[in-house]
Amino acid sequence: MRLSRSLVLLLVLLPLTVQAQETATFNLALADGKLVNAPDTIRVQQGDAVELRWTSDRPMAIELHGYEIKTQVSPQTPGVMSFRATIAGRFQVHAEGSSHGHATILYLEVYPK
Amino acid sequence: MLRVAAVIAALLLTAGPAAAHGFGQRFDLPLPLWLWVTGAGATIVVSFVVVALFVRERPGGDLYPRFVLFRRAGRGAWLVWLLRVVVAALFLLTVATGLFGEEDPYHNLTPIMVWVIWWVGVALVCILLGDLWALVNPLDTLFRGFEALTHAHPHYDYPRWLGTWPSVLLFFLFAWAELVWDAKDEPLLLAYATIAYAAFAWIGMILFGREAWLRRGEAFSVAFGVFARFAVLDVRDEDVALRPPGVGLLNERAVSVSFTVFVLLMLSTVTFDGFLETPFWNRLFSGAYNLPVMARILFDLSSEGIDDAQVMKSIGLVAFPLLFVVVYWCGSWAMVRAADLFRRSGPPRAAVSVTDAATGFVLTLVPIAVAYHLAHYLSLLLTAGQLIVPIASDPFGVGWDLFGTAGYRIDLGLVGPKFFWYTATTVIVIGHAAAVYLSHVVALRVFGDRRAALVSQGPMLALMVAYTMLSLWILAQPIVG
Repeated sequence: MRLSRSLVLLLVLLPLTVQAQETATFNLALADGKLVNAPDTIRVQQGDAVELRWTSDRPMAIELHGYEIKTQVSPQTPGVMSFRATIAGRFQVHAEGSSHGHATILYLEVYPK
Repeated sequence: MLRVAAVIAALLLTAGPAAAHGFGQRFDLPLPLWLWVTGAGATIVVSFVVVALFVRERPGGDLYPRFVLFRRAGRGAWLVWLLRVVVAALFLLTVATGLFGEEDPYHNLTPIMVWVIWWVGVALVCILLGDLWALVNPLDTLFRGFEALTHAHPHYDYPRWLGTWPSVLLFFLFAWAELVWDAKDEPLLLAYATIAYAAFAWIGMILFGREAWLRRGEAFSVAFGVFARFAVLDVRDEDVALRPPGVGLLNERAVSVSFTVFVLLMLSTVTFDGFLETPFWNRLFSGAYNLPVMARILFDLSSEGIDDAQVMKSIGLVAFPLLFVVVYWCGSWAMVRAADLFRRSGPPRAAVSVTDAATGFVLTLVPIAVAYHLAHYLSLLLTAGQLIVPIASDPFGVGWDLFGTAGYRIDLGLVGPKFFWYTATTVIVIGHAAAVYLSHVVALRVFGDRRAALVSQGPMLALMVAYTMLSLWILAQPIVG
């Protein structure tokens, strides 16, 4: 069960990681402070250039811990986090400003080469 | 009485000023599937190899080889005292920074000192080298100073029935503070908790004598002592010797029931710490809301201002050790039954009771816990532990730069995930092998008969494999929350 799920996950994510040779771009939409239509974990390879493009139906402050990158997002202006994934590990993305307080909305997993 | 308890609970469980995110946040990647499977496979193989070796091996004596490094004879006493004074001063500093320093846990010595340097770091030294805590325990040092000044004598003999139970209770409270308490990173409250614990320990020492309390009532002397039985340094009054890792757990006589429960409590809380970070725990948590009764209780409590997450964790913290105790006692029962069934007819031996088995074997589980402890906390020590570099220069968070390191920033890339993956898996498999080996040695001693001993190890092996698999499984889970 677990194995098959991991395999499916691998197949789904493989194209993402392969194209990541250039810039891995993720379009992430927030509604009511939660991610819409996206898995709660995104995976990249160490050394990849990563771009997280945020849109939201309400103004929020978003922070990627570990990399200490912050951005603001509002219905009018999308937020962008653009960086090179130099550190491997599993990093939390927090959002502030939703009704859920300070919540983890996404995990970024950077896998070692 | 109930009201007072409720008020105290409300005070403790009400979330303080919400910390931005947990101090000592972890950035570990879960073990990849293939490594998890490899580790699990190796665990099984290693189990059978150890068992196979035992089938051939002649049972040896209980004594283990010791290589004497040096005789003590009072030499180096001044060095130990210097160390004691330095650590006692550090202890006082840690309390002082909590009381008077900056509130931000990232700019105060107290949280990092207590949760990373002391609880993780000292444990690591105890596991790998030897009982550092017994050597430098500041509560002991300060009380010795008090004794020298007042010529105080203990008022009572330590009651036998009390056993290690005070340590069981105190360690439970400590585990609660570490794993459940929302405000555990707030320097001021952490300093109060430290003072409360020290005061309690000193009262115990005044009543029953310093050494009696250190042996049974000072939870950390007991806990670090358990870890240090695994270590390679065998420190005795007369000399300091090297020994193979783990053999210190071959206790010469059965431990008490209270000590057995203490060890199981330690093992279970270490595992519970990792378990709390798994998605499975999150599902349990949200599952609780599907039970109308639980949902109602949690809702009522949260309207009183008591945080539901802490209530759930508290329930888990009680349930997890109880589960360990029950499963372990069932395993001990199965061991005794198996040995009885397959005992060769021979000279009759005194029957081995389930309690004899449980108290006789409990320490053989320690290597698995020690391995998990290393695997789980090594990354924390190497990432969050780096905070000590800037904080050492500015322990109160008031802008000092004593050693010129105040500007140091944590480097999360110091060691990569691959290092942690391989270390964690290797350490866990080695710990498992050590546990299986030790438990066979103990089986020979407890059951006497070779065949009975071997058969008795069936249930124990199943228990140990399950425990090791649990450790590996937790490490393979993505950390959430």
